[in-house]
Amino acid sequence: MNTQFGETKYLIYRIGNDHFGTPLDQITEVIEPNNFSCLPDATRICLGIMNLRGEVISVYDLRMAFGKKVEDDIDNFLILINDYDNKFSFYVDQMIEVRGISDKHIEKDVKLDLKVPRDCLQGITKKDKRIIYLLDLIKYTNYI
Amino acid sequence: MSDIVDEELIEIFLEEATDYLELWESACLDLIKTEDKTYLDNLFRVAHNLKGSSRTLGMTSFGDLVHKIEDLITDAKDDVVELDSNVAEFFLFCNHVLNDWMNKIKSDPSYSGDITEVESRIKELSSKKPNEKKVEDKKEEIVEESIIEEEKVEENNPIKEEDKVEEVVKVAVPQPQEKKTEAVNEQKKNRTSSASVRVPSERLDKLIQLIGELSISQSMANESCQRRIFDENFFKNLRFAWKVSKEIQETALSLRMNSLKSLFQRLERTAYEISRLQDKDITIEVEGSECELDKQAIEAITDPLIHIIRNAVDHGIENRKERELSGKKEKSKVIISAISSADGVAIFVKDNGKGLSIDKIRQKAIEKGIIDTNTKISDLELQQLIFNPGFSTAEKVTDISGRGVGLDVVRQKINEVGGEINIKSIFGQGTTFNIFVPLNINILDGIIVRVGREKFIVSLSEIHEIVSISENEVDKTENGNVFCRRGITLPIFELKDILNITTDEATTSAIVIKSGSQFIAFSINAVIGQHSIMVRPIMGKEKYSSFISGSTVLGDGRPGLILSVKKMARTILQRLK
Repeated sequence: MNTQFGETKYLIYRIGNDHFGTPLDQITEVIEPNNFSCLPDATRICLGIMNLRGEVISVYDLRMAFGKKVEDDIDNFLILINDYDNKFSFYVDQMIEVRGISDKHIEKDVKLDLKVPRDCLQGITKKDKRIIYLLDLIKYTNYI
Repeated sequence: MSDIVDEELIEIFLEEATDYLELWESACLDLIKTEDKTYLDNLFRVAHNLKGSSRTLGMTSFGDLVHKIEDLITDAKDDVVELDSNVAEFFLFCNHVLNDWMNKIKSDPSYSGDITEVESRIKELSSKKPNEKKVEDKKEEIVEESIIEEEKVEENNPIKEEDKVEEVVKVAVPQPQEKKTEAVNEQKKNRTSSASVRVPSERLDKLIQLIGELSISQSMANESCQRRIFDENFFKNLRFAWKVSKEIQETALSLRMNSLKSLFQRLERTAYEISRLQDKDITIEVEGSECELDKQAIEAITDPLIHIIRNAVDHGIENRKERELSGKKEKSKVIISAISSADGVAIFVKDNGKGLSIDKIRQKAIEKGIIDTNTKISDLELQQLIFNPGFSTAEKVTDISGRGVGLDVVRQKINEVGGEINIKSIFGQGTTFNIFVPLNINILDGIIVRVGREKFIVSLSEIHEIVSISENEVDKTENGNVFCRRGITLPIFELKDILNITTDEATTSAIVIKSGSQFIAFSINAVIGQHSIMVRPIMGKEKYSSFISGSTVLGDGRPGLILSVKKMARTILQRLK
């Protein structure tokens, strides 16, 4: 169960200087990036395709999508999500943690200067004075 | 429907009934063609079974309807009702009604249809009086027959039958045709692809046997592993296991194979119905329906083929008057045939109608700006242009064809399953559509080529040849690069430019593709080898080069893209013009 004691579990990760959180039940797995192959004429944010146990999945770079600087970090991770029969993987900078966030701690009506489509953003929450943007990745797949 | 019945039972019934109705359909078609009474027996058997199983499930009204039709079949069998095309067509109509009914049951198991129309038509038909003379002949026949039947100790009562013949008075009213087409359309909408597959049991037996063999050879190899003895025996077992797994792969894939029988039957019926509607006297011949194709492929080509059949009957075959005027003696004919080969099935739809007018196509192509007035193009190539979007030479749009999906959609759908379509037509003599569908759309024999650091797969069937070539053999002209192959000059393009790959590596080989009658070459950095690969879809959003038809995972664990070089060749050659 993703929701317990009124809290929803989120995977918190870093893209550039910002922290993002995505509901854990959207995510099927988190893996280290392996070799990509190129995908000609794909969208700008598509890094290519990868092999996940025999399945071929497109890799999208969230850093590029959100206008962050692309730097080669060693802590990079791929977040895999499942949208019915389709699979997507997203390239992010760093895994932070999994944490439960209670609904009452989420601010929903916020105006943000962020390169993220508004309806993909569930809201924001704060932890140790740091803002965590709560991102619905399944909705985001509509914008790719 | 009286009771709520187990859903599972209904599903089994529906599956069974679909098969029965297919048999019903084929019996009707045979009946219409030959008016041979033996087909009535088939029809009767099917109706009887349907009645039985529907009543078991408590679908009383469905059962009652079938029962009434069964009565009419019995009457026709016993010559109480004259078996003519009207009756045979009515049976076909019943098939529509029952099919419809079944589709409704799928979504709503308690559905109960309206049977009054069928009932009234049965009444009309069974009250139809054969010609006076015929009645007398028939009477004699009946008496004779009934004597024989009495000897056989059948249930039929000869006295009752004679009574019935005397009762016959009224004249039948002509059939309302519109109603029938409505039923056809309705049925088309409801026809959905079922999720289950019927598999001959011997294939399953073979699969189970192979899996047994695999586990034996594997446990033998395993034992060697545990004892750490890697001798000749171990490698023998491993090779054997590899061989068996290859065989399992083949058998497993064959589970999805279906014969073309039901598809061809559907095509035959479509052709027949349109010919009736337009009052064209057409013989429809079907050959090679035993050929097998992947179920998915059959489903994918069904609509395109129906469209082609409609075209053939509607536009291809002339109406009676035109045919008389053109002095054609032979009967109008549409032949649907299939031939199986090692790598696929070729399906032909041939008619002996009026054929395509080359001049009209040329005129239209110039009008549409596809070709120039002075473009040199062979007649055969010109004919292929009708697969271009928005290309219709039909002067008027009829109900049957000429609008809705065009031939461009037909080609697109067939290309989607890796197939090809072309047309060959002789003006005044007829048209042949040739559709080739590859046998296996999931596994393909491919050549792995390297461009820069990336590896790509090209289907073996799309390659004409591979030549080794060095850069100084390529001549740069103002219209692009060309090179000479056995005295023929052909255009050559760098695959790395088409796919936007940066590399400084020298070209070593080129793959030559044949598109129509033209050749084109694509240069690559290296040929890696030939492999049989499993085609996988690319997960994610479909936004990438249209020359990529799929992907696979290569031996080194990296994904590889499958290039559709035929499409690439076609696109580039069109651009060159």
